[in-house]
Amino acid sequence: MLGLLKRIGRRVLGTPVQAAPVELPDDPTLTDAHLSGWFHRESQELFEGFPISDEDSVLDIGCGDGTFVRFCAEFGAEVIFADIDGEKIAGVERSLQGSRARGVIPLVTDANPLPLPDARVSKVVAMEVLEHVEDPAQFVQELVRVGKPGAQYLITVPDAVAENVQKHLAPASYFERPNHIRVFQRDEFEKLLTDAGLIVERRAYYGFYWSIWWFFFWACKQELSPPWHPLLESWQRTWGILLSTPDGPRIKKALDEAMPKSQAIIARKPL
Amino acid sequence: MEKLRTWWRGSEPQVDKSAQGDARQYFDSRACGLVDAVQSGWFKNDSGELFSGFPISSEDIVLDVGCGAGAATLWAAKQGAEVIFVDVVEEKIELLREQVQHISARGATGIVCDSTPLPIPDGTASRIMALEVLEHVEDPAKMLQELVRVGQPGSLYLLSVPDARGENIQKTIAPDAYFAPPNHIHIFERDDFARLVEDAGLEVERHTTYGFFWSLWTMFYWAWARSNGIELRGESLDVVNPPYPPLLDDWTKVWHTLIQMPEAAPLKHALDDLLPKSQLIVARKPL
Repeated sequence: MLGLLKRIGRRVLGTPVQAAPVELPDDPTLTDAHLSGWFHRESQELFEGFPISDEDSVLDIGCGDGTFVRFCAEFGAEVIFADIDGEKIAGVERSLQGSRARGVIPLVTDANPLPLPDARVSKVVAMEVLEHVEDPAQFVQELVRVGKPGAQYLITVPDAVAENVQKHLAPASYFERPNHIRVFQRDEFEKLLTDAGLIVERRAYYGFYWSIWWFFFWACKQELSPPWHPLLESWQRTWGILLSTPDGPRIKKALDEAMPKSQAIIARKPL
Repeated sequence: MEKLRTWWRGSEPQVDKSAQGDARQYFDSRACGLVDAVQSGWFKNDSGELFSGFPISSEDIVLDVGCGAGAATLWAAKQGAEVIFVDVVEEKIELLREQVQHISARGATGIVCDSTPLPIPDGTASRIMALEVLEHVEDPAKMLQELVRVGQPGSLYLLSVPDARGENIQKTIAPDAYFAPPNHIHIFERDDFARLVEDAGLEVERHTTYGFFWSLWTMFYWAWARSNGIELRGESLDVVNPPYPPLLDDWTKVWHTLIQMPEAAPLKHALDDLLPKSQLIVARKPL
């Protein structure tokens, strides 16, 4: 057995270590998002299991800087985007000029209630919003009201595993208004949606890279903008190298399940 | 009982000087692992603890079962204890005998055997260690019984096995040989490990986990090895030496940078709990 070990040893040591600079994807975070199921242009899915077509009316509630709205606009959907921050809404509206969206409706609102009639939209997107709102059940009810029968919902919140770590690392304000005032256990999140009458179609967990990124971020004591601390730069590079290996995606999946940043549910309003 | 040995049972970590001329700063995986281990409570020279809660003094008789290259035995010998080290690999025992000679141990005995049974009388040792051993043996309960037999009343035990959370992520990528004899044939959930120790008649004093650094390192190693067409066997980690592939150097750099930062302690603690490589129990044989 010892002889075998030595032979293996020579094999491992004898293998030339890649000397050439490693080919990195331009932005590993995009590769990571794609592998998580986001932005699948070839199948017109905003997220795996959540296709967008030019027949859709999409409501993005809490749209932020509009990344998801722009994806839906690309495929000709009518886009209704809502945020409490008027400046963000103006920015998203500007970025949609000349887009393929068949309709563009900006809304500055706290969504309580939404200035939309019943059964207005066929798709509802609420990314990382529920953890900020005072009354999530009421909020979801309002989203259900504006969805057509058969409308599809894509809702994400931070995963409890990573949030519970953040509790030891992040400043107290991270868990105060207007930030994350609630941590959803996985079953609680699902119950919130089923209690509102939605039928769950898919659950997904993703974002190990970002879990670690945020943990590191707090240790770096820096502003949430570049230039990034060398630690964060290194982590991005390491993750990029991993994803560029053939088994990288498989490892990412295992780690995403063990320590995701976010949990996503795709659900449907019954016909 | 060939084993996939953890790094600290290997030889003393040394930074590879040849790589230091490299333009970007070079971090040796094992050196980083040592710093990480010390932060987790290993090798506490000031308080004379091999691990937090497991002190070793010159009055102790220390038994190290499955000693490997003997980092734990050597540390105990440096405390002036009498050391008895056991491994199934004869060459490991011979090498360790030689090394221990140069240390002021009160006494040193190397034994080549598979530990069931141990050729040691009842109630011999005051400190018993079995580090990353139980996951390899067919009947862990029987082995523990044997370890309890040779301990003095009141003796302390330091027992470690891979953590189930860490092992379960390895399952997605590790070669089959990693989870087949002679490698890891048991995965212990934390409760199961504690119960195993208690059922052997020991009292658990401390149960902790560590080694997020190594959990990721190992995953990344498999990824690199596969992509470079290296035939993977469970044993091969034992012989992974510098120079390491860029992916491992990069990860080591990330972790090394992190754990030097004063704000990193709670972070390391949280990750060592969430996705650790190993779990450790300090236990005592009742008086």
